[in-house]
Amino acid sequence: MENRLDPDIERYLRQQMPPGERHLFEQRLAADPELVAETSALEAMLDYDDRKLYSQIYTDAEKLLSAPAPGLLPKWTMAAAAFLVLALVAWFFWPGADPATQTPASSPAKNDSLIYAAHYDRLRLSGSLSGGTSDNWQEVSRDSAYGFYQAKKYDQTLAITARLYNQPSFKEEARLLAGVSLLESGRTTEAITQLGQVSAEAKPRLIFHQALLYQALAQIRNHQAPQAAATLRQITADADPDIREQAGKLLKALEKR
Amino acid sequence: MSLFNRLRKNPCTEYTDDDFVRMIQGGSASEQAFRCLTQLYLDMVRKTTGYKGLTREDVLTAYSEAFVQLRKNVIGDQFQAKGSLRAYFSQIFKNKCFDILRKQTTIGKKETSYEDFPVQIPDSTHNAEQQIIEDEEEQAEQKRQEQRKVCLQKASSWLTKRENDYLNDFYVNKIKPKEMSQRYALKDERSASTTAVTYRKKLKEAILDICQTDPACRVLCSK
Repeated sequence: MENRLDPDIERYLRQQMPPGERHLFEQRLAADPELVAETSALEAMLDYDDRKLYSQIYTDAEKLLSAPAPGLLPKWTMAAAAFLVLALVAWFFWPGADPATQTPASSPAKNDSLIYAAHYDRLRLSGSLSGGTSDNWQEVSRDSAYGFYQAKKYDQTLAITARLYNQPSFKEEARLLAGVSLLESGRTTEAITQLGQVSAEAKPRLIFHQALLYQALAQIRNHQAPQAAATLRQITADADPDIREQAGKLLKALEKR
Repeated sequence: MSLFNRLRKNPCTEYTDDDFVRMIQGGSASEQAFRCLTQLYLDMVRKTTGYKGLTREDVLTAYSEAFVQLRKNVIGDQFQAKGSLRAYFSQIFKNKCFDILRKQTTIGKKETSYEDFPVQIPDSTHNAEQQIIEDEEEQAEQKRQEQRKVCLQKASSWLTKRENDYLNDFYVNKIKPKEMSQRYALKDERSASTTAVTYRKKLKEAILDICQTDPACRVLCSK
């Protein structure tokens, strides 16, 4: 095997061939399986490169948006801060401003939608769930699936997570990611089933508690408030404080429903 | 942020469109080009967030996808520099945003009125039936491309991150064996080349295996 690729392959994949030459190359492809394999290999590399660029841009842009905008005058910032404080105070005292304390809406279904919208946060894999270098195919798959989830490409997320269901160290995380993807793509019943399969023995246990929280959200979206409350009550005292707080808020909102 | 930092000129503004195009086409300097462009065009993200209900995540997705498309077009010589790079990018970005809006309407995530559709089909130019057929063909092709991407990704996931990065640097960014041996702590140039061949062979084996085991991925092995 040569250490460099046939340059025609790259020109073909990068759409740099004129139509006539392209047609000739396709004839070569039809007759040569080895050339097809080489072409697919380079295509996989280019696709990997695209995903790398995508992640780089997404992360950089997100960081830049979170950082204070350069060049703002202190006076302007002070005025904005004062306005924000006033707005927050007004919001706090305004009756019915908090979705969790709102007066009942016209129908339970509408109420469920309001609760769901007010409490839904997209899944963030952090700490023990992600990070570190990925040195085996399962970790690479998990990271790719998460990348697709972030990009809201749910079909791809589901295709990749399905490969991890029979991998003992990854199956719980894969089910969580798949369940949340199903929920966000509107397939709530499937999401409830998928999230219900995350084991209580999952390590770290955070995965199990996150699955319960999203399962409850899926049940709310499916207008199954009593089941959602029961699910939330399974989030025990050993859960992550953030998850406990979110579950508590959600339970309160369901009680006031 | 100190006053000094506020007054200091942003080095990214020193580059011209020609510089950026050269950097993107050059491969190894493209990372710096994209870091600068991400920063310089960020106002588009701020302005678009909230438009027709697009969330920040939606807009960031469109923004990132637009840069991937921009690179493809610049490398494929499709950017003719008739206008500015910013205007060219803006058009790609807008299209990506419309794609997201259209997708959300299709899966029923949002209620959308007729006025929300960004592109109206002109009544005179085509008959409606023809337009529907073309749209369906386009959608089918899009699905095929997405399925192909899933298969390619399956193949890449057989390799470790290091192996994928290595192949990417060697074959896509065309980094010379000498630099590769330094970057990846290998003995010499020769072993850098041998390593590239080994990893490429592994990737091809993955492709062949996936072709045999997953019927949806047979497209990777036949033309």
